[in-house]
Amino acid sequence: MSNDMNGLVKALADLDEGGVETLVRESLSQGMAPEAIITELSAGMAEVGERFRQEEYFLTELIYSGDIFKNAMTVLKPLCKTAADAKTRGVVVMGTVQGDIHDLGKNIVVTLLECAGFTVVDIGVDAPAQRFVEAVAQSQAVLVGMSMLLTTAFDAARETIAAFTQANLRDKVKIMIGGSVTTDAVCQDMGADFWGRDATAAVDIAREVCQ
Amino acid sequence: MPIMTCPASALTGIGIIDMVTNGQAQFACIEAFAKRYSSLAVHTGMDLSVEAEAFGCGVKFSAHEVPTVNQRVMAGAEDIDSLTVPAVGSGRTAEYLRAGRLVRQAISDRPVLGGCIGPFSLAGRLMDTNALMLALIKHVPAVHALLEKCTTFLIDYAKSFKADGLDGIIVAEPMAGLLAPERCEIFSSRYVARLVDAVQDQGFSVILHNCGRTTRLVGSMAGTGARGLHFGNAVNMCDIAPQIPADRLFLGNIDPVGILRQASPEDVARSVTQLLEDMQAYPNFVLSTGCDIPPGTPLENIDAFFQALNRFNGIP
Repeated sequence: MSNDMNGLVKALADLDEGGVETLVRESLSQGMAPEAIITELSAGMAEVGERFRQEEYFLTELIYSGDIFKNAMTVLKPLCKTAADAKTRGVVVMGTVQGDIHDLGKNIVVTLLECAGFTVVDIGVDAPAQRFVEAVAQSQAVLVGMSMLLTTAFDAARETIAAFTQANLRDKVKIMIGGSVTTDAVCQDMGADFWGRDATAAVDIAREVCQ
Repeated sequence: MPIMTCPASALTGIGIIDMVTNGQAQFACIEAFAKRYSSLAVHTGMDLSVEAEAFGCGVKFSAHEVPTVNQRVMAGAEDIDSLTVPAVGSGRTAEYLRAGRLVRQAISDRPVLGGCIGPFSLAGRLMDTNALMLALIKHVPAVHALLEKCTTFLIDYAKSFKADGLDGIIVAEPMAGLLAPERCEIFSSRYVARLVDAVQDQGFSVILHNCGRTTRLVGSMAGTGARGLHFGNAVNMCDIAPQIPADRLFLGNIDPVGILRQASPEDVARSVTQLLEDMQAYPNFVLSTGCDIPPGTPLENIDAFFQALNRFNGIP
């Protein structure tokens, strides 16, 4: 049985879509708990992230792995005995800040966070500060991700952080920023807590915040 | 040769929206920069929404940023067959061609370059990017059909710049920088090579720009035959330079945001001098920025860029 599960980790890490489908089906028919299968799939996604960091995989492979994972989850999630929310590692609000409509980076982070077991509230692009604040207040998220690809979005990001302070939520939520124009210096300058260099770094930050 | 158009607002008082929708206004900005700076060449604006708009995409305009595609014409691979290739001159391409013509007429002391997006990057604007990335694995023939349409249009567009007497074109293919080397070759470089074959000759050069993680893509980029290869600040030029064939120019890669937009003139000078020192052994290197300089960049920093270059070259 454990060999099969190791095979599942490898199948996902190797982007073997057919192999993942087969192994998930076989594991279920052999009586494996869906939660245990999801754990193995998550380990496969972690390996994909590592290969991305090593530049063995690129964006195409990252997105494809998320697609394979999500397809497997459509089979597994309804079979979980516990409610999906009970299994979440934490809630993260993700959005592209006001004035910026780029969604590629944000969407990749959303996919990887979901694959890593987080519940993500995706508030979309061109999101005003108040939408971030309301999403956190409603979801009890402990982490906010603000994506931006434009330097002119920096002011909107600062306003969003200020809005959390005004809503008395700043000490209840950590804020990470990411996007090609961001740097650690920008992060510090605008008063965010974390800078995610890429999508896999964003997942690492979420794990750190939600551990 | 920094890539810059938008910061000319500070010189001309022309707003970004005018600059990207009116060829006359764009010309005025390019001319203002040409008068102020002794760049190796001048170029029309780098605006990666123009061609997608010609195909029917929606575009968001802003007084503070270059336009961005906000509405795709295709949701997925199933829509590719029905996509129609527009005529050159559709949308704002007519204005960009007009800008090129006006610059050509006014500036004769240095090369004038047009600009267009690369085939794969255009595909990534016509179709949802996530869907395109998945299609590279799941719907390969459909992606090639899409790239055929993109390349057909871009060749015609580049030929129009050439017919107007320009000296070359900068082909911006940043999305190819997201791909593994073998996919970059299959889905980008082979199509760029066709564009190069169609227009490049002794009087017209193609410069291929890719501001992604290109360290492992240099061979594929060079294989397109483009006479110039332009790199972004995601790479270390010391890793790039040894891979460049001696008969090509290569350009790059001062950080347009972290250095030119946000740092001090002293930081700009330091970065420029360091890069020039690093590239001293390569006579085919041309100092440039890693991508287009964003709106709002202080002119003092652009001044510092050229002053550091002149100082390095012993020009008073």
